[in-house]
Amino acid sequence: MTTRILYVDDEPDIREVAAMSLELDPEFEVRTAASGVEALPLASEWKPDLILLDVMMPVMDGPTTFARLREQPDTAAIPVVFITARTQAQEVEGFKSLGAKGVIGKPFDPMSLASTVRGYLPG
Amino acid sequence: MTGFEDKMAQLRERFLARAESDRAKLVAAATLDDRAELRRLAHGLSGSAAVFGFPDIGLDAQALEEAVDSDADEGELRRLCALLTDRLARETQRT
Repeated sequence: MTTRILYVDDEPDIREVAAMSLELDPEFEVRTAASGVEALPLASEWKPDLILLDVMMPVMDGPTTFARLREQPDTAAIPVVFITARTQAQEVEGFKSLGAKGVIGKPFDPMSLASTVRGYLPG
Repeated sequence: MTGFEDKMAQLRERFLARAESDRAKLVAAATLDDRAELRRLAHGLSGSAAVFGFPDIGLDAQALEEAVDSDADEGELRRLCALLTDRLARETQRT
């Protein structure tokens, strides 16, 4: 069974590493977006099972993108995990209180990203 | 080398080439007190350096990015920028 993962990050090298890392899990189908603006219509159209969302992005940051995803009926229920360098307990709790499924620290380990992400998927 | 490792090595080479060009851009931005450019460059390095095996570059870049965000004075930005550019020179020469 295929699991669709959308990875959103403004850094092209990181998008490439993340996609490659996630695809180490043969059940993951991965698409990437370079910004929140790009991610919103892609999420609507493609209906990923999980969105990994960088927090600090120009134009539309992660929390704003997350709020917009929640406003769109067809993306409102998609679980979102934030990706951020700011992983102090207070900040992590702040992201969770917004409704995020979790937080993955940046930089992530390319070899274990897929298994970390799998932990956020149901069953 | 596996396909994954081979691709990671390619991306690391690309990062090193970019880091060299970013170092020159950082020096120019600090001279001009161009905070938007300093932040853009620091943000890019802070997000990617550690993934490619350069955690100290990532930490220095993050410190610079946070200093711009907290509206630090020009002297502090120049100090942090110099730390980052020195680190970039050392780390990229070492490899």
